[in-house]
Amino acid sequence: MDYNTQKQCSYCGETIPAGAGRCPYCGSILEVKVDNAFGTDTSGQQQGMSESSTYTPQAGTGDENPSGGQVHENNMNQGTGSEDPYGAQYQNQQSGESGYNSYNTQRPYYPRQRPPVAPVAPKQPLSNGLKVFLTVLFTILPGIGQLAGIITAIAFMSSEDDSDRRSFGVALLVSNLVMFVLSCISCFVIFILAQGMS
Amino acid sequence: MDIIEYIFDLTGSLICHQLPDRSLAYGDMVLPVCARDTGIYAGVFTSFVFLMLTRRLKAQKPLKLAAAAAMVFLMIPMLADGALSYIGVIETNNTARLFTGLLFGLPIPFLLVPAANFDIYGHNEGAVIKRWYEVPLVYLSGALLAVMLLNGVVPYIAAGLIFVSGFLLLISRLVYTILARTRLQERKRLYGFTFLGTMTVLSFMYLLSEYVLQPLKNMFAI
Repeated sequence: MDYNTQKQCSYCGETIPAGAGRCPYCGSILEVKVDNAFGTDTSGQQQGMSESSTYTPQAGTGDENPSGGQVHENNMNQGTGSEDPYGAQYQNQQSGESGYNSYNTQRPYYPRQRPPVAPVAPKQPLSNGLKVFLTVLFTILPGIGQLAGIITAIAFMSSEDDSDRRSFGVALLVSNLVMFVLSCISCFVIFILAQGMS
Repeated sequence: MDIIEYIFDLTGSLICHQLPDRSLAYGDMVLPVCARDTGIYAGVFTSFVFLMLTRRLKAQKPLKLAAAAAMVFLMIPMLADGALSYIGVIETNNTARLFTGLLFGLPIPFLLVPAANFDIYGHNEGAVIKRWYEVPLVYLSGALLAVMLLNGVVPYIAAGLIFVSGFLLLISRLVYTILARTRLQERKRLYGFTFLGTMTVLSFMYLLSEYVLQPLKNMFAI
């Protein structure tokens, strides 16, 4: 596969490597070239396709390839819609034409698009009020507050794909560490004052 | 020897009350900081040496939450020991101070390093702790160092150097972390500003110690 040249995804329009079988942006399955099972050169028959036909490349996943991951050669499923329900029959329905030539001059073979996956609801960003509350709470509680702040900060930093929490986590970690070290260093000042008072 | 001892004492006066009965003694020589601070900075020193030897000062991934919680939990004994002994609930001794201080100091570098290097928007490479047995290994190394300090196996000069190194590493790394988070990405400038920032912090601590704390200590005859 050629990953140096680039093309546009026919689904979302993003620029992707020419050899990519799946769009890294929208996740759509793209056509992939395979060797002809009969060893015949089909390049003369298929305009725009050099030496191979196309198939759905998701063997084993089941959902993208409705016929159980088998390779669909175009010269096996001409007019036999029952063997490949999304192949030639689908192409013919889309183009409104029928016959071998019309099949080969159409777009090579588009698998049926995957059923839409319910989008994962993005995490709600932390509100500014909560951030201020946590920062103040962890700052004013001596010792234990900073320790709790460090653990909370690491939990936030471990949030994948949530830059808001990660950013707040780093800020919380740095502030708690600085506060912690400062308070420990200044402990002896309190000790001196306490000794003086007593 | 006098100059070295003076430098150790001066550094110790910035951060410690330096009460002789709370400090480890080597014959007639007393360490420049109390046993608790000796433990803290010995712990910081041990962890930094581990991170340097394993080339993980650029590690970006923070500790796993369970490891972080365990290490932070082990910091509590020093807080409890310090607070309860100050208010007179328990009697503590130098051994307890040293070991609780050690447990407090060991995790700090493991938290500081990813705090400086963590990439908020990208993928983070390299963890400060890669294998589970590295945590007990670091703690055992620290405990071994503490035992050696407690029994006078480590010479006075080496013990003082461990304290001064731990203290300077901690302050400079804190300054570096703050500067690194301000998007000051150019390395030479970052190191330069870290040096300047560390010197500024030390100068401020010296002025505070010289003109506020030492007069207070003299006034209260501590």
